[in-house]
Amino acid sequence: MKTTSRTKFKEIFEAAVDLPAFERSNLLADVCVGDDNMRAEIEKLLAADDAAGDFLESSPFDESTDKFIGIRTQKFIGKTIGQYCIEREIGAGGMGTVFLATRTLGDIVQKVAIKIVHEGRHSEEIIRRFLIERKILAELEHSGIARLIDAGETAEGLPYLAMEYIAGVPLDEYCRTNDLAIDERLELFRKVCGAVAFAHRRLIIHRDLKPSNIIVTADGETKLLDFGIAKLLEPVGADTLKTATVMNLLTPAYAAPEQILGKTVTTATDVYSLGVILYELLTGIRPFSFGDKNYQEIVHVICEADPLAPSSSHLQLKGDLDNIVLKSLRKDPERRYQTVEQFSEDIERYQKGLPVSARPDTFSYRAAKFFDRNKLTVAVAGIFLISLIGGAITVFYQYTVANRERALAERRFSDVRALANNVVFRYNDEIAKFPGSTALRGELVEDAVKYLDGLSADEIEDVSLKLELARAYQKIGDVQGRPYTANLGKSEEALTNYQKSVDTLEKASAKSPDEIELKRELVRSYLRLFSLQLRLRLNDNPDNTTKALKLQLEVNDADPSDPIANAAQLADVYITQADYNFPDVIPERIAAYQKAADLLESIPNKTSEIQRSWTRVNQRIGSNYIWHGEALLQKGETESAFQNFRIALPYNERMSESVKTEIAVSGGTPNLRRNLAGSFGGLGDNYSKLGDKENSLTMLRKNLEISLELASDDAKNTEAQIDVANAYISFADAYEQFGELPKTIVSNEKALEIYKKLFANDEKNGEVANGLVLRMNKIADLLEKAKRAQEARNYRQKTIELCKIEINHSTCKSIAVIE
Amino acid sequence: MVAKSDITGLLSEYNNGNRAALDDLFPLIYDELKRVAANKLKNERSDHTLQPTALVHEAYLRLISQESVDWKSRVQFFGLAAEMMRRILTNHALSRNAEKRGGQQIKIELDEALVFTTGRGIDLVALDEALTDLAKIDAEQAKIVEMRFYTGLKVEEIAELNGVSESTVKREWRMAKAWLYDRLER
Repeated sequence: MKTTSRTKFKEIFEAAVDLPAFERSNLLADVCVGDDNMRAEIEKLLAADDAAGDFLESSPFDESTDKFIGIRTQKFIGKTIGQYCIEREIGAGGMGTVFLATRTLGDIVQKVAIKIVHEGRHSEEIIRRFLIERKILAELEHSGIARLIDAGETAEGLPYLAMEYIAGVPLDEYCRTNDLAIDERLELFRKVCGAVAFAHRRLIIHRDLKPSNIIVTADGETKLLDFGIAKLLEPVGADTLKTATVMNLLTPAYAAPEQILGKTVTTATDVYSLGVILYELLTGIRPFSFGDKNYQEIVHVICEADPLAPSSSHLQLKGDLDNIVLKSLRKDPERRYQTVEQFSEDIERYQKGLPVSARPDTFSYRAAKFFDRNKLTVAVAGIFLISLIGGAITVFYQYTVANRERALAERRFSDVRALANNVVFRYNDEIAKFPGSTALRGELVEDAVKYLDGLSADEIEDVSLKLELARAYQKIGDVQGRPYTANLGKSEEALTNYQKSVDTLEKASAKSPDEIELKRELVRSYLRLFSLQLRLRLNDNPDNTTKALKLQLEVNDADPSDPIANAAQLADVYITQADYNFPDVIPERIAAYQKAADLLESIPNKTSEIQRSWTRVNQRIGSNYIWHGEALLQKGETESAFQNFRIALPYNERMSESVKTEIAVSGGTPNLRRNLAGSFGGLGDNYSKLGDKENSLTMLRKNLEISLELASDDAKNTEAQIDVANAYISFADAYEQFGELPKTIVSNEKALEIYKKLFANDEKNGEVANGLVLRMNKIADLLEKAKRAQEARNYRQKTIELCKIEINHSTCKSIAVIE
Repeated sequence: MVAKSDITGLLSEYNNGNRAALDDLFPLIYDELKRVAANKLKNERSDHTLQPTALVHEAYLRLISQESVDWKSRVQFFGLAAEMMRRILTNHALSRNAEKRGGQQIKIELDEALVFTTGRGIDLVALDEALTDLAKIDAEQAKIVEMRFYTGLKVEEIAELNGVSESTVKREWRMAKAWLYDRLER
């Protein structure tokens, strides 16, 4: 090749080398026009690059000392040990050197592999190790495992093992040289899994699985070698190998985090090593490259670094194979496949095109991303993730095989349950304290509920499990669409989940009528269900709330041990009952709220639960007096109207104080800040009704500011959007009150814009639909007043069109009358 | 211990184009490497793996005191060490081959301390020949292979020594690796 073209040649190679195959050929076709030689040369190099793998990547000095020792053992060559004539060295491991030897029995010459302890290294520990290996091998009669034939001592007193001699090549080399397809590789890999699983059933962990310990014979069978550091899981007696020794004997590339850290080694450890092998078989590279890293760096990588998905180098592995491999490589042994069988079965499912059990690590990934985005302190994120991983410390396999299976199943059950509960109750609540978390919470809880659902599907009569499940349904309903809290605006889905919560508890309570907690929880589920039904205008049966009230009174009677909690929940029932039963009839409504207020006021030291109810009841009463006043105003009863506005003010003030108290105790969580904004809004409305412009606008501005902030922090939270719209409406009403027509129109239009978007997102939401109709009609009114007749007609027309699908609202009804 | 001046003098000769200086340098540095390796084996657990990088670094530090290390002599040293390790390994492989053929055993002193496997079945003699050919096409790539494979230097070290960027080293290494793989494995 001419030297002038070397640079160009390099450039083309470098440009092509990272491209997928078809793009490579396009590129080469473009740039190598008329130079077929160069093209062929580059293609040859590209193919070599694909195949090269870790060629030249490991230094020839690696494992040098084992060979060093191996050379010392050369004196065995040609000697006879026992019945075996040593022919040549075939390998050296951490503990001994392996020789090919022959045994002549009559006419038959049998080839065997003889492993002899390194001379000079037959310390007591090593000898014991050898005996263990002998014991282990004696138990492992399996076609996929090299068989033990004999054992003994050399003339010098060195212990040796005679094993079945396996002629073949290491697994990775076999795949490479035969250029096996993915499916063929998986098939071979599963054979290996079968042998490892067999060992596990004999309570033996291999601990040093790597391609060089797996030989593929000429007829394509795999054989597992070298149980040199394998561990026999026995009920008593710790590991017979000191950790430090194991560390020195380990092959870091295939070592699991718990292994490198010297922690308890389980069958999941072998799962990890198998995972590395599978990764390597599929991609030609290992998940981590340790190149020139020192020991600390290697430990760090093994224990901390996330491996790249196999598909990052081989796109065709994307999806299930990525998930399967990555699951086997998880840092926490508890989160890997718990058995090699499961691992192998998942691969089989993949091969058959069935759904696999491995899922991407979405949650922790997303959580990490989320915390990253929110720039939380490392400490908080750290605590969160550590607790997520479960910290489940369990002693593995202390029983017999049969017991073990059962213990496994039980542990898995309780682990999944614990994790799901943590996700639903702890993490969800913790995350809810951070702005912008609604979408994440949605996914989180949904996943967790699936687990709980699965656990509960069997006919399990476990009260606490039913409670957890019901609460989980509540939580997911909350995230999906609990009115007046951060939610995703999925009202219908939320309704389904609240209904599931109610059903679960009703059934459980019927079976266990003495379980008070089931009833308490049932009331809570009812209240959530009712408040959502109200929003969806499904509040058509007042008997429902009566049922809830009866139940709560029954609970309070049956268990008076916590009168404060009882009073608080009863107050909540009253509030919801008033909301649900009296949508329009304001005086009755206020009377019902007042019952709750009286209950709550009697409690001196309010817990945060009660404080929240106190906030709510004051908010309800305050705004109801205002609405009542507005109704009176329309009837021309000005004096009574103002009377109501004046009565409302102390309630609104109490609400504001109550929220501030909550914030002082619990910090400014999004929910509390929302309530704070609401209290400013209530006060602003109240002041404007009373004609106090300055105070009114100040309060309304605070309301809008906080609402906008909350909405931009949490874009997926539709409740926050409603709040912003309502903040604009409060402004519009105040401006109208003070006779500022143009500003009134602008503020209403801003609210309208938001309602339009919300309606498109959640058409079933009656509040949103009403808001939309009301705003359009209002703007039409205002435009008429402002003598903008054409625009007014447009709005009116749109309102009528909307009313055709939204005829429920009173505005629509009055329009229908006009028409 | 070899006199410091000898080495510096020979290095500068070598650097000035006197290839013969290498033959004089070789045993000097070789002895030092042997000493370092033997020490390592004596002092550390015998199942510890010898790292050529560590050997070369240590030998270098022993031969040339820190104060006198300037950028230039460092480059020279590591380039030289890489070439030397290549020689050692290739000679060793040759001797093993000779042994197998039952021929005269070539005495390689470093054997005792610096024994090695041929890594994943690489034919070191063939590699040496291929590398010589690669040097004719692309001396820079051949140099990088020497430094990385035989001496175990890290990419960043090679980049620093050669005064190029790490990404250049990575690119050259990858291409050289492909070229050699093609030569050796097909």
